[in-house]
Amino acid sequence: MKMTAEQRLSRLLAMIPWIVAHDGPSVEDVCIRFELTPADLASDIGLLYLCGLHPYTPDLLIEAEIRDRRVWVSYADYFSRPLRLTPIEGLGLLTAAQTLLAVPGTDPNGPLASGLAKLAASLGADDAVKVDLGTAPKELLSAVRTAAHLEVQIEIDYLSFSRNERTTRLIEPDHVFVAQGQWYVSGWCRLAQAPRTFRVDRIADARPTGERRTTTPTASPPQLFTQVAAGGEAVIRLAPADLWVIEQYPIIEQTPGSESQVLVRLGVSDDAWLDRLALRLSNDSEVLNGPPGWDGTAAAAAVVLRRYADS
Amino acid sequence: MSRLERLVNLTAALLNAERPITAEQLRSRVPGYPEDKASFRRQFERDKEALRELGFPLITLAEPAGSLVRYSVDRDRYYLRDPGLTPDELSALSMAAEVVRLNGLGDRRLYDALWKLEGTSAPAGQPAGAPADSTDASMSPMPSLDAELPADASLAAVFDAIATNRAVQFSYRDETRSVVPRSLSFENGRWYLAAFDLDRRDERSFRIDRIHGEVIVAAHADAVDIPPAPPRASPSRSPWELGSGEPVEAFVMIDAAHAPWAERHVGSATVQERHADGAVTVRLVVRNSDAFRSFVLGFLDGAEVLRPAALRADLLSWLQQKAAASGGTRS
Repeated sequence: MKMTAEQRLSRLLAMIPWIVAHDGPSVEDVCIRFELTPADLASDIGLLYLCGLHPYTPDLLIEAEIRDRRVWVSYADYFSRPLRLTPIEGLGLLTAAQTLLAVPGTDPNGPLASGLAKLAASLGADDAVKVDLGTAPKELLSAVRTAAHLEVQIEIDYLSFSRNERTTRLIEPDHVFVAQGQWYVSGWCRLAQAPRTFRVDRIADARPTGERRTTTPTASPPQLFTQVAAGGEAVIRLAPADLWVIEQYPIIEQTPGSESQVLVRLGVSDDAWLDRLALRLSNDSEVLNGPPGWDGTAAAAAVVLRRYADS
Repeated sequence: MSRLERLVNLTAALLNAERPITAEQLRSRVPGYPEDKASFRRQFERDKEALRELGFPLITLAEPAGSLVRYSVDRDRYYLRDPGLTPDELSALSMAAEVVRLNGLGDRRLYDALWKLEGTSAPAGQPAGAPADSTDASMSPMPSLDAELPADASLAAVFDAIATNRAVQFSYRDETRSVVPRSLSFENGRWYLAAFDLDRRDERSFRIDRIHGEVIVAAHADAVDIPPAPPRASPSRSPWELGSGEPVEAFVMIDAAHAPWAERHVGSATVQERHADGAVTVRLVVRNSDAFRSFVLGFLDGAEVLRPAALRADLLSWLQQKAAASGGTRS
């Protein structure tokens, strides 16, 4: 890995205190800890050996050497403790720890929790960060993760919000991931014979089958945006009261309309998804164009009204 | 002479300076800067910026006015306060950093932060045979797990302010707000800031993604007189419970296809009746009828407002307007 001078400085300032504290650690240990090759370590130590304080007389130079496959650094008291974390680093670590703690199944009293508490306290940021990852039940999350990990098929009962139906599917999970605050599982769906992404909180039940998967897992989770638009596009005129749509859904394009209205073009996952959106918009907004075959707002309203007429 | 060598010597010079020091003095103490004045300036500025990026608390002094700018490092703030992590705790944090990414702050996998913490981790004297124990199955890496949270410069600035007890100022919905930030929470896919609003003299909540422009962090931790932080709000309430209207009890029947999800979402305690076909009737406390209508319409014809009559009528008239409108024309 080619590193910039800044990155090497950062690593060096972290490495020196560790080397000093461990009193001549082995080259292997240092390389494993700080993820560098012995050649890179030799080059860092060789450089450190030339550094120190003005006027760089021998008594003011840092002593650094690799001897008998062990690493020694001395006369660098001012470097013997690491540099503080930047706000981004502190925030990043606390958030990562909080997020993993929010994953159902993580031991709430384990080393992650105690490490997080210690780190937060040392940063002056007790209780500063909290992460809530939605309502996916622990057993389901654990079932799909185990299936992905063991590369086996799993049968799920899935509640499709948009199609108003409950289906039973055999899936071969690839990735379990969080996007936009929700848990998803992606993988090969044998019912659809295509890759699909499911929201874990809409799985009603999951049963492991023990059968090996038949497809090769994909390398990374899918981009939700591209899948979301599988049902085509819609153009909507949004009144000011409905501008929340822009914040909640993937907007492809937006242009100002008249009288503080906004015209947006957005991806549609399927017709029922657009029905739901159309019925929730205020009466000053309007779906101007739906995907081919979509029956329109009035028809969607009529379907729901029929339910009330029957009862 | 390499740039890295110059940066190491510059860091050492700043950390060891007895008093604030000028750029010229630094140049004479740190080898490797060019002779030419203009290119020295450029390179010095670049080095300074690099140190700041790494987290150096570099202080710039221009007092008295008209004198040369002097630099110093706040040594109390330079060093990492040792959190006293055990090897187990450190490896748990490393694992968390491995599977969770903050998007929008560059693709740094928090290596630097972990390296710094490594530098504090238990030195010799730690009981032998107690290395980071990763044989426990619950601690094993989770290749099938992946979490991405959004982040931006506003979020980092607000966090910095919380950690250092400083007030911030930012533009929010076309207004300048001055607040003392208290905590950040990630809910429903978004970051929220809980803060004490200095102008309104009250607690307020802000959506980080609605902060417009830069967050200005106060230079010093002022002894602002604010009340102690209130206890953290109870688990987030549903939108229809947030409103100023009189609370109304609403009964909604939800079909079997949606029932398990709905029950998880609104809580089993709300279930009043379980029907033979798997449908459920839930009881919701409604203070905001718009939000309630929106929730129910999300089920399309898979749910029905049973009572009270007023909320049922409200939904029906809403739908009748939609049915009558000419909207939804297709191309």
